[in-house]
Amino acid sequence: MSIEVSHLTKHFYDPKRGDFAAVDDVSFSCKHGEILGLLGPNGAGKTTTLRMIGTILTPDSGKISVEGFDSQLAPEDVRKSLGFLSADTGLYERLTPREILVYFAQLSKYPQAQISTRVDQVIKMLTIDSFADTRCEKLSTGMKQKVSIARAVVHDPPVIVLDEPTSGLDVLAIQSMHQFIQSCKISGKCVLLSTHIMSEAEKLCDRIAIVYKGKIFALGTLEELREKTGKHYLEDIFLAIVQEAGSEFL
Amino acid sequence: MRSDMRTFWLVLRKELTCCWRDPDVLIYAFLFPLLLYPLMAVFVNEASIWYSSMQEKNREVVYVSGKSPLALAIASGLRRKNHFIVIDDATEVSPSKSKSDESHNQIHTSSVDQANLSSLKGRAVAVLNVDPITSQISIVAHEASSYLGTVAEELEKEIREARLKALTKELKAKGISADILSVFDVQKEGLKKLRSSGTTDSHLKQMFDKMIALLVLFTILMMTIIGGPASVCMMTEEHEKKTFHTTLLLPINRMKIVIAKFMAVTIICVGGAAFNLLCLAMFAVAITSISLGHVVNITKVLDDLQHLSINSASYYVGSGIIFVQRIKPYVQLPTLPELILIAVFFCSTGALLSAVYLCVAGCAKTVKSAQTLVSLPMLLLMALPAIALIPGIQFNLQTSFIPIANLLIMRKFENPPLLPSLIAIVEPLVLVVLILNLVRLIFESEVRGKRRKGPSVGRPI
Repeated sequence: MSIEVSHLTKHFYDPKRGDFAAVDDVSFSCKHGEILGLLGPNGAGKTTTLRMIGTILTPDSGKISVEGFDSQLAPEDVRKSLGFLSADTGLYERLTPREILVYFAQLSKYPQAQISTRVDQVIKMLTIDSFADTRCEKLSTGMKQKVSIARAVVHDPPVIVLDEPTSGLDVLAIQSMHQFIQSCKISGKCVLLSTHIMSEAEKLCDRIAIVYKGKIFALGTLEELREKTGKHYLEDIFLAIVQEAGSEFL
Repeated sequence: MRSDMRTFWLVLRKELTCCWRDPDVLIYAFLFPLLLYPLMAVFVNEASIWYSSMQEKNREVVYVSGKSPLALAIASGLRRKNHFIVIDDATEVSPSKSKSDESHNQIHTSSVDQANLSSLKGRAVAVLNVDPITSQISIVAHEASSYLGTVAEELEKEIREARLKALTKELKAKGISADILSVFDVQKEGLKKLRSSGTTDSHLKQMFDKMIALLVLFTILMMTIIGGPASVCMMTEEHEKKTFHTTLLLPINRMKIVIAKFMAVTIICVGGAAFNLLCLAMFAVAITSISLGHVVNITKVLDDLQHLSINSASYYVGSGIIFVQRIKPYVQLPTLPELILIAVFFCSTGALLSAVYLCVAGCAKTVKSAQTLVSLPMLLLMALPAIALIPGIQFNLQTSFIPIANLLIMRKFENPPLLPSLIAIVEPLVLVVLILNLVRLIFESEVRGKRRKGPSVGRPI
C-alpha cells in the first residue's frame, strides 16, 4: 500500500469547546493508481488527517506509513514521497514559479542533471510558460493554483495529497484540476483527495470515505456505499450515513 | 555531510533571495545609506560653500609689518593658505581699487587704496612685526580661533616655515644645500612631533575614542533597524502569506530551516550594518575634508568623472593621499587584536540580535503585530550598549554577563581579566543557541497543534 493510516487520533484545544478530538481513531489505506476521497463537511477532520499524513501535524496516537516510511520515524522521507497541495500551502511571493520549482526539486533530491528538463516539462504540462519567470505576487488566483500544482508534482512523487483542491476556483480551473487528478491516477500515482463537493467525489474517486466529527463512518466504492445505504446519489448516501451516526449536524 | 550542507545552502539562498527582494529590507539596509549619507554630504558641502562665502566677507585680517625678505615670505605663505586677508608694508596703494575687490579676496595682488589699507590695518586681529636687521618677530594677536587652532598658533607655524625657507635659500646661495637637507628634515620632524604630543592632539584622540563609541552605538542601531524587517520577512510573512505549511513540507530537517533563516537574518543584519558603516565613513571623510577646507564642487567632480583623464585621476589620487596624510596624526588606527575584537563584537551582536528578532517575529501571526512585538526588544537592545558609556564602569564578573555591553566594556581595558573576557565572548553564542532552540520550539508548536496539557487530553468533549 502506498498510504496506510491506522488508528490515527488528534486532539485540539479550543477555549469554547475545550479539548476535543479532531481526528478520532481513523484508519484507511490507499494504493498506487487509486483515488481515495475523504468526503465530509467543514470541520469533519479531513484537513487535520491530511496534515498529519504530510507531517505538518504530529498525531497524538496512531500510525501513518507513506511508501513504507513511518511518518514519525522518517518524516523527511515521507515528505519526499509526497506531493501536498492545500489552500494553506501558499507560494513564496518573491520568487518566480521557475525558482520555486527548481528549489523544491533540488530539496527533494531530484537528480540534479534532470532538474532543468523536469521543471521545463512541468511548466509545459501545466501551461505556465507565459508567467514562469514572473514573481508569484503578480499572479492571479488561477495562475497561482497552477503553480501550486506544479510545485506539488515537480519532484514526481508517488503519492499526491490534495486538500480541497478546487475551492475558490472558477469552472475552467476546476476542469483542468480534475484533468490533472485523473492524469495522476493514470500515471499510477496514489491520490488522496479531501473534498466536501459530492459531485467531485462522485466523478473522481475510486473509493470514498465518509468523514464526520473526526471519524470515518463508511469507506468503499460508490457501488458499495449504494449497496450499504440503498440510496443512489452520493448526496443521499452521505446524509443517510451521517443520520445513522446520530448527527446533530442535521 | 556534503548533501546536508547543500540543502542548507539551498534554503539559505532562498531566504536571502526573498529578503533581498523585500522592499523594507532593501530600503533600510541599502537604499537608506546609499541615499541619505550622500545627500547629507552634499548638503553639508553646499552649506560649507555658503558659509565660506559668508566668511569671506568677514575674513580676519593679519598685518605683517616690515619689508625684509622674511616678512615678505611670511606674508606670502599666509596668503597661500587663504585663511586670512594678509596685508604687508609691500602692499601698493592704488586709488582705483574698490571695496568690492576686498571682499572678493583680491588683496593678494598687493594693490589697494589708501583708505582701505588703513581700515584693514585697524581691523587686523594680529600684527607681526619683523625686525629687518635682527629678524626677530613679535606677534600681537587676539585669541580669535580659526578652524586650525588659534590665530597665534597658525602664525607661529608660518613663521617657522618661512624661516626654514629663508635658511634654505641662504644656504643654497652659499652652495651647501645638499649636505644640510637632512638637518631640515630633522627640524621638520621636530615640528611634527611637537604637534602630535601637544594638548590639542590628546583632545582629538579623546574625541576619536568617543566617536568610535558612538559609531558602535550607531552600528547596533542600524542592526536593530535592519534586523527587524528581515526577521519579519522571514518568519511572520510565512504565516501571513500562508507559506508556513509549504516550508514545513520541505523534505529537510526543520532545525536546518531555522538555522538557515537565522543565518540569513544575521548576514543581512551584519552586511547591512557594514554597508551603512562604509557609507557613513565615506560621509565622515567628506565632512572632514570639507572642514579641512577642501570644499568640493559637485558639478566639477561629476564633470571630471564623466571626462576622466590621467590629469584629473592623478589629481584625485593626490588629493586623497594628501588628505590621508593630513588626518593621519589625529586618527588612531586599531591594532590587530582590536580589529579581531571589533569583528567578534559585530558578528556576535548581529547573531544575537538576529536570533532575538527571529524568535519574536516567529511568535507573531501578522506583519502588523510582528512590527509591534519587534519594537519592544529593539528598544531594549538599543539601550544595552549605552551601559558601556557609563563613566568609570568596571569590567568584572557582573558586567561580563550583560549582553552586547560586555564586549564594549571589555574594549576599554588594555588587559581585561581572563574569566570575564571568556564569559563576554562565549555568552552571545550560548544565548544564540538557546534562542534558536526556542525558535525551533515555536516551529514545533505549529506541528503539534494547540493542545491543553492535563488529564483531559485524549477525552473528547
